[in-house]
Amino acid sequence: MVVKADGSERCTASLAEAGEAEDRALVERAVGGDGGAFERLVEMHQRQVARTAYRLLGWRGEVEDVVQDVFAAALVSLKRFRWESTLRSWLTSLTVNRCRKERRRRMVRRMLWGRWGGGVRRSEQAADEAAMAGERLVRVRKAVRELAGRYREVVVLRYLEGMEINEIGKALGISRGAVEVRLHRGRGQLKETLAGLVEG
Amino acid sequence: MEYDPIERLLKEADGEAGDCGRELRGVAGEARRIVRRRRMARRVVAGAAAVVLVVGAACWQWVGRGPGRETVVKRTEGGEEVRRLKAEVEELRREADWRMRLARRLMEEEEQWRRAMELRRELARGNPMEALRERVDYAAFAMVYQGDRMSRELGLAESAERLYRECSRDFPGTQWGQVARQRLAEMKERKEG
Repeated sequence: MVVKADGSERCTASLAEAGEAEDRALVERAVGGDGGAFERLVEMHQRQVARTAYRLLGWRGEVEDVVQDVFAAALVSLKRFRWESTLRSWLTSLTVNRCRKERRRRMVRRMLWGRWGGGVRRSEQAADEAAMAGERLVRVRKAVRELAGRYREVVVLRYLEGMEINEIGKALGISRGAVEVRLHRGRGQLKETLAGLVEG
Repeated sequence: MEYDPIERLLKEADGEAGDCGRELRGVAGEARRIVRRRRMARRVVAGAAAVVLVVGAACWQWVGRGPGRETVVKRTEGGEEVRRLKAEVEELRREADWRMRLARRLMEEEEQWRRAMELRRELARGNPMEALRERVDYAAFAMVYQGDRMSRELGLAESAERLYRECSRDFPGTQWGQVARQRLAEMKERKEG
């Protein structure tokens, strides 16, 4: 995505190849029962997974549980991983699934709080007040949070994770066309919500 | 490179939000613990389900098929009752069958009789000889009727006698021809008497 010159593109590509080779070797060892290899894999990818989860969950709350859950799922299904995509895409797809579950859980919790716990929590209230006060970047994050899940996922993966359309399609299990449609609609909604900011 | 205001805004907002908080530690170990816990939970659930099934099966065996003395006695009594009820049901079924057959036969006979009458009417309607006989019969009746009116209402005994005579002569084989002969005999008796 970010290409500054021909040389840096080649450099990025060779780094990616080296990373994938290391991933392959570690996965093979982890599947063979090497605990150290799995730890190394986690160490290499946990920051990425945490960042993706944080963004997908709307820059709110703890993501430690989600990250642990993602790697637990990875540990269970690592044997079945066939390298049809990169390890990063695969982990992203696991993260997206876990984030969907986490969002549902949070939504239920918020509903219960709304009914029995006296309304919205203070931190969320503060965030909303800040948004209403017109803080520019808070408004942007709020707009992303308010996107429907299917649009938010592609927007985050494309613009913040810098993933290619094909890669997003593989991670979400949808076609390239579907990714493009969702991206277009998501952008449209963001443009509408952030009308003043985008033009400025 | 093309400038995309939305992408830029998103990146700015993401950058300002910062990292996801504290440093993640021991994720691999925690992931392993989660997997172990889930496996254990699955085993516990499967074991509990197996125990419930076994207990359920045992209860069912004990309640429904157990070889206890009281149960055997009850089963025997129950068996006789069942046999008696079965026999009654069988008898009732036989009687119902017999009644049904009888009703069916009666209905068939009624239908046959109705169809025979219909056929006879149909034949009479289509037979010219029968129609002619009916007409002849009607002519004889008309003559007797006229004769009766003449003798009883108008006192014309001779004209009546003539009509009776003509009727007995022209329609000797009909019932009204016979009536005419009877009237003539009565008139003769009255004259002689």
